[in-house]
Formats: sequence, structure tokens, C-alpha cells
Amino acid sequence: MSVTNPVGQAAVAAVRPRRFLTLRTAVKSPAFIIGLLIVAFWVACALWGRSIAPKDAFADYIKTGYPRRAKPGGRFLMGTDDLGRDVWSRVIVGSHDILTIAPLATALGTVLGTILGLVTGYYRRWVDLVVSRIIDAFLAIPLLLLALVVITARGSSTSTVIIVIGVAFAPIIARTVRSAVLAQADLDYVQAARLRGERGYYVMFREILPNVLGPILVEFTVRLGYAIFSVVTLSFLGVGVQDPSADWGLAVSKYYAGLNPFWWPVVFPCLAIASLVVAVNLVADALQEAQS
Amino acid sequence: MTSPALEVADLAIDYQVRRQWRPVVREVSFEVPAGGSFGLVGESGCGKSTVAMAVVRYLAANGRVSNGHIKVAGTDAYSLNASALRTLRANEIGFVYQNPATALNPSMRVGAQLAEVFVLLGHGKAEAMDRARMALAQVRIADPGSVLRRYPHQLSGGMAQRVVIAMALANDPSLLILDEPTTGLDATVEAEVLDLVSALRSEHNAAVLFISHNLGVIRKMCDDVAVLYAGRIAETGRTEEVFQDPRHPYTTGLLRCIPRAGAVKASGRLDTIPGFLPDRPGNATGCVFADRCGLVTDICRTDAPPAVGVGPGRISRCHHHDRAPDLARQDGTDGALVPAAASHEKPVLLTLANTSKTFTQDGVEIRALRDVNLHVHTGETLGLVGESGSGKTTLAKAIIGMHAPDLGSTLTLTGEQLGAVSHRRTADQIRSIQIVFQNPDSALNPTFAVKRIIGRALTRLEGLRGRAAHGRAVELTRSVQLADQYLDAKPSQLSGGLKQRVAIARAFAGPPRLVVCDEPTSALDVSVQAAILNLLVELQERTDVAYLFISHDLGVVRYISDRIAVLYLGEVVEIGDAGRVFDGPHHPYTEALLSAVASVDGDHRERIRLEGEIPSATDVPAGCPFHTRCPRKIGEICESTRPELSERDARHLVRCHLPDADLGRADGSVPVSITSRT
Repeated sequence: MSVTNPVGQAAVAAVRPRRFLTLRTAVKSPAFIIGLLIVAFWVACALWGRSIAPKDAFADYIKTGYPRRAKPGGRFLMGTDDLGRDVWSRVIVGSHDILTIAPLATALGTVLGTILGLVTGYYRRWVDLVVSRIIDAFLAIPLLLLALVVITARGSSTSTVIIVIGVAFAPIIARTVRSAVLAQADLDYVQAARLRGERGYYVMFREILPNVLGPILVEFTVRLGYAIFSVVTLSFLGVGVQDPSADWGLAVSKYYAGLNPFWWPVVFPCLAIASLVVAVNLVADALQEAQS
Repeated sequence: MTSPALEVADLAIDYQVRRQWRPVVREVSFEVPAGGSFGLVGESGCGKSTVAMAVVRYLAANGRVSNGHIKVAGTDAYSLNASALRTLRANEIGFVYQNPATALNPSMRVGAQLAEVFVLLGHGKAEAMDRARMALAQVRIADPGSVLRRYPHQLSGGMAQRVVIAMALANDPSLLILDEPTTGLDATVEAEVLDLVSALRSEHNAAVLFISHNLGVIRKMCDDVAVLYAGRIAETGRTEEVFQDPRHPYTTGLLRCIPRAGAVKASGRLDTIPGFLPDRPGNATGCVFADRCGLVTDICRTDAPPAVGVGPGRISRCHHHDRAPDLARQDGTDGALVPAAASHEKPVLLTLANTSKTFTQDGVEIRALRDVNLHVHTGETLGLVGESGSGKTTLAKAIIGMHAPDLGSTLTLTGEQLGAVSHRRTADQIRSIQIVFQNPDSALNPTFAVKRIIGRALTRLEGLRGRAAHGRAVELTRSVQLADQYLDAKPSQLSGGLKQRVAIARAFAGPPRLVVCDEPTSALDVSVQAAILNLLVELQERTDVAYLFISHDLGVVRYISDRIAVLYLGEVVEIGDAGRVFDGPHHPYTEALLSAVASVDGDHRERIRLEGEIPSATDVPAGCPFHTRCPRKIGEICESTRPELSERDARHLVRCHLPDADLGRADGSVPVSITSRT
């Protein structure tokens, strides 16, 4: 009986690694690196803002003796606000809340959306029909309106904001995941799993999920950009982050009425917001590019 | 003297991969005379399509021609500027791609697409539409008016390929390039398209550059051939001579891999070509084929073989071209082959009684399978043949439990009723019936390592875990002749043949009693196909497993099958021992299928032509479903009465009104009856 023959022997020489990694490809693009550096800067500010900030971001002029409404330049890079607080320090410290809420909300949305997407994409038929229609209905509600209503009813807290944004994002992410799952579910390896009697849970989460992580990662970064916007907007509307936080959205809402000529406490937080959103989108674009 | 339609001299092509130029084609020279036909043949990755693309100067962005020249109708294609190149392409070259479905714009009607070509050639709009109609008539489309108004998705594969050919011929080219034009088509349709190309070639007096991995097709279509290996011409010459008297061990090996001349598993293993295509052929010193060659000597490792003239118009790149025919046989006949056991004497394993499958789409019933009755014996291979749309895969899916058959169908496994779908089956039934899919790329989870793929099957089917599962996984991979090191590899690190071995190992985890093989080798090169077929036969000898083997390649089916069932429009029209089904007398449909095969041994036989394509299963013709295409139709009875499947001789059943004496006996029209040369 020939258990091994020359085919098997010759085969040994032919391991040809052809691994294709989304991340590895993305890392090489300059957009990705620039985006990541900016994000990393703001993450560092969020984590160690108080140590990084050159001055105390929360002490007012009575304590510090700083001039109020000092113009940018000189001692105060971005000037001081009407309480004599250093704007640059406040911008640094102000990244904390947004970089807590937005990623957590996006993560929540991604987890929920992935589960929904797997279930609808794998089971199809009536499960898909019912869940997808509910998702469609949900998508018809404007995010801000929903957030305002819920937060007004429940009272504003960080966890409420996270849950509202996360739940609102879930259907959008579910759609992306669903279409990726649909493409996988037709492949023979999924059939093979079913044909050896695997349960739905195993097929969805062990067999299919690893193969749709790429699109999920891209969707996560794209959504993160939107989440940052949403959090800022809610703070601006006064239902998000509350005083005495140095949050950017909050700062804009507090000072935008006096924009002329007292522009610096408004414009610099705005620039911070813009830089973060652009950076996240650069990362998202690079990942998307590498995906396709 | 007219210049040749195509002249390729000392062509070298590189591809840039990770900023490095890698040689992919080297020293390729050939000439297609005006009106001549030339074939490029070789396995995947040998560079044949790259050469074709270079001819039309359409290499991928990371490719470049680094040496040599290409002259189309006497014009050097690489000396032209953009507009002159456009003119050359427009006037002299027609190109037919492999996949007609993607070659046509899905959002444009056929008429508009075809007319566009004529408008570009300078005709007015109304005249262009007339020309389009004429072009369709020329490619033997019966009802050009209706086809003009259709969208590409409303055409069958064969019809779409005719439209593409009509387009390629619109400019009356002096050179027609066909890149695997029939690869996705059924054998019957393939035969028609090839006939059409031959006919049009003489009508237009166009030269043909024909690219295919199918040696039979090349043999049929081309006066001259070049066998490519790793971007070099291994051998070139008159097709007939090259195939009958190969002077390069690669050609010899390739020809021997193909199950033909009536080869059957009982008479011995198929030859294989051991090893793999070299990763970077350009960097090798010596002969690129040396690592896989049975004739290799020291000189092959050090000196690249020069092109040696080995006869009029014949060139071989082998140091030992004179010994090529003596290449040692690869097969491991193992001394004692199991005697051809009469499979019908073994116990019945699987029985299908009155099995039907009807799909409903938009309220329309599609009768994919109708009243199929058959059984599979323990340890035998039942081959399943028929064109696409005949219900082969539907039948396989019903057996494996991927979809439930209609009510009233009965499937039993050793007398026990089988659950309609897999999750209604007992653990033992699931273990007993497994499947090997056609496409090894999608059959394995790309994120799992081989040991996890096989280990999971062992856990589910045999209840093995941990060390026991690992030990058994090692045994299984060894039994499919995979080295242990592959246990840690991911599918993307494996070649197609190795992936298929993993898929086979997974199917045998149970261990199974019946494995459904759904075209398991059709995505593979012939040398790999031979190895996989050998493996399947070996596993069968060892474990007495039964196979339900689906393939459109009749040579393969003949080789591996003990019995064969022929399906047409969802019903069995003929079933019996493989030899009887192939030798005849057989059902007219079987006869047509057999005669459509383009054999590497050349065919001098009369082909039974089938008119048109397989009718839609939504509207199965009354009476005998084959009567609309049957060349042996008797008359009214065929249209009104459905013939019974009746026994013609021992265990050979045919569903036809014709009496035995009138059934075709395809003497000389069956590969099996052609005397073996080797």
C-alpha cells in the first residue's frame, strides 16, 4: 500500500507564503501614517492631558492671575478665555471626553451591528426580512433627533451618550457586515460546515466572522469619524458633555456668540475637532483602499 | 510574398513585483502564417495569456516587453504611437476572451454593442445595425433579430461567445486571437464553437492564435503548436507530430497525464508530473524543467538547453530530446492492482427512488430533477455526466442534504431513510456522506490553518478532541499525501492541488461511506488532476468508499467510474457499467456527448451534431425531453410519449424509443475505441 508517494515528497518544497494583510498594505501609505500620527497625538493628550498641558486648564484668573481674554501669542499660544484660562491647555485637556465617548460608542455600535449583520446575512429568509425591515425603519430616524429625545428623557450622562450613538450606529454597520457575510455565506467552506452539522452560532462567529473582519475594521474607522462629529454636536447643543469639562464642542458652544472679536476660544477647538476627524478619515480611507 | 499574420521573435516579458522585475516569458519565438492557425498550450502560470496580451500590447501596468519584437501583419506593434496602435488593433486584430459573460457590457443590448463596433469602423448608424444582424447570422445564430434586442444576461454561454466572436470578426481581422474561448462551456457547445471558428477562419482567411490548456482542443484547432513551460517554449512544431511523437519530456508527461484511450482505474494509475512550477523561473540556471524531469542529468542543472531542430519545423529545448519518448512511466502500479471487482455484486449503499426536485422562482416551477431512480453500491464509483443544466449538481446536493428533494422522493442509506436536509440527518448519516467541492479555493476557510480545518471535522464527525484529534489529523494528511508541515499552513499558502488534498482529507474525517465529488479536478491543471484522481482511487481501494463523481470531462469519468449515469434535463437517460455506456450502443444524447469530445489523439470521426442548447427546465418538452435536439428522432412518438428507462443488456438501461438495433454504436466515435499509442 502506498501511503506516501513522490507527489507528497515533492510537495514539501512548495510552501509559498502569499499572505495578504490589510494592515500591512495600509501601513505603507503616507496618508495612513499621517492620520495615525495625528490620532496618536490626540490620544496621548486624552490620556495624559493634564501633564502635557503647559498650564492648569481649569484654574481661573483669580487663582492664577493670568490676564483674561489675552490674544494668542506670547505667553499664551492660543490666548486665554474670559476666565483667564489658557486655551491651548484647554484644547489639550479637552480631547479627553470626546476620545472616550466616540470610540466606546463606535465599539458598541460595531459589536451590535456585527451581530445583526451576521444573523441577517447568514439566516436570510424571514429572519433577514424581519430584522432588515426593522433596521430600515430605524435608519429613517435622524440620529440627532433620537439622541435629543433620549437624553432629554433620561438626563445627560456619558453612558447615555455612548449608548444612544452606539445603538444608532448599529443598523448602519449591520448593513455593511450583512453584505460582506452574504458574499461569504455562498462559499463552499460555509456549506461544508453546515454539511458536517455545525450550529449556526459556530458557522457565524467562528467560520465567517474572521473572514469579514477587514470590512468591519474599515467600517469601524469610518464610523469613528462620524461618532466624533455626533459627540461634538451633542455637546454643542448642550446635551452632551457638561461643565466644567474643557470639551471642544462645549467650548465652541460657550464662546461662539462672541466670535467677533473674541475668536480664539472658538476657532482653536474647532481646528482640533477638524484635525481629529480628518486624521481618522485618512486612516479609514487608507484601510478601505487596502481592502479593495 | 505576404508577411506572416503574426511574428514573435525572441520575446521576453517581465512583471514588476514589489519593485523588482521578474522574468515571466523568455526567448519565445513563433510565427503564424497568413491564414494559419497556431496554438499556445501549457498549464496555468506558463505565460500563454501573457504572450497573447503582449501581442495586442495590452500587458498589465506592471508588465513590460524587455526584449524581442512582435510584428502583426508585418507591422512592429511596439514601434507604433497610440493612434497607429489603435488603427492596428482596429483593423488587423480580433480578440476573443475566455469569459463571454464579462466580455460583453451587461447594460447594453447586444445589437447596440455590436453596432457600435461597425460605427467605429466608419459605418452609418442604420447600416451598422444591418451589419450587426449579418454578423450574427454569420456566427450561425438562428434568430439574429431577437438576439440583437437581448441583453447579455439573457444569452446562454455558447450564444454569448458567438456574439463575442462576431464582434472580433467585425473588422475582418488578419489575426484572430482566442484566449481559452471554450473553457467555461459544455463539451457539446464547445464543439459547436470550435466548428464555427474553423468555418469562419476559412471564410475570412484569418490567421488564428489559439490559447488553451486543453490539449484536445489544440489538437483539433491548430496546424502548429508551441508547448510553453515556465515562460519558455519547451517544444514547437506541427501539432500532429508534437502530440504523436513528443520530443520534450514535459510534453510527454503532459500527454500521459490525461486519462484517455479508454484508460480505466483498474488498468493502472495515471502518470503525473511530480513537483511544481518553479517560483522564479528566470533565476534558474540550467533547464527550467530539470526539477520535475525524469530524464534529468548533470548537464540539465548547469546549462540551459538550446533550441534544437529535431525535424522539419520542429524545435525542442531539451538536452535529451531524443530520449523524450522513453521517459519512465510515473505511475505507481503498486505491482498488484485490485482486480476490477464487479461493483454490482457489492451491497447497495445508497438508493434514490422517485427523486425529484422542483424549484419555484417567481411563481414559475423549475423541474431540476425528475423521478430519478438509481443506486450506488459500496466501494464503487458512479459517474454522473450531462451538460450544465442537466441536474447533476442538483442531484448531488439532494444526496448530500444541501436541499430537500420534493415530497415523495425517497433516499435511503443502507436501507435507512435519509433526512431530507443535513440537519435532519443522524450523526452517522452525516458522517457517512461527505462532499468534495469543485473549487478548492472557496472550499476551505481562508483564515483557518490546515490542522484546524481537518481537526474541526474530526471533532464534529468523530467526536475527537485535543491530542487524539491531532494524531488523527496527521494520519489523514499523510493519507492524502500531504507533508506534515502543511498542518500549520493556511489555504492561501497552498497550490490548488494541495488545497484539494486538504478538502479530501476533511471529507474522509468521518470516515465516510459515500463521497460526492462535484467536479473535483476541473479547476486544476491536468498534471495535478492526474495526481488527485490517483489519490481518490487509492483511497477507494483502501477504505472501500463509494464515490458519486460528477464531471464534464468524459475521459476522467471513464477513468474513475465503475458505472455511469447520463442525465438530461433532470432525468436519467442512460445508466450502466462504464464500459457499456461508453462503448454503446447508447442513448443518442450519450452518443452526442461522446462525439463532442476533442481528443488529444485527434479525431477522424463523424460528429453527431446537437442542434441548439439544452431547453429550460421551466418548460420541459413533452414526450421524450430530448426530442427537440435529437438527431435520431423517430417521429411523432418521441413528441408525445415519454420513453421508459429499459434494460438493453445486462445492467445497462436506456431511455429511448429506438430499438436496440437502431441505437447508435459509436464505433470510432468513442475515445475508448481508439487504440492506445503509449
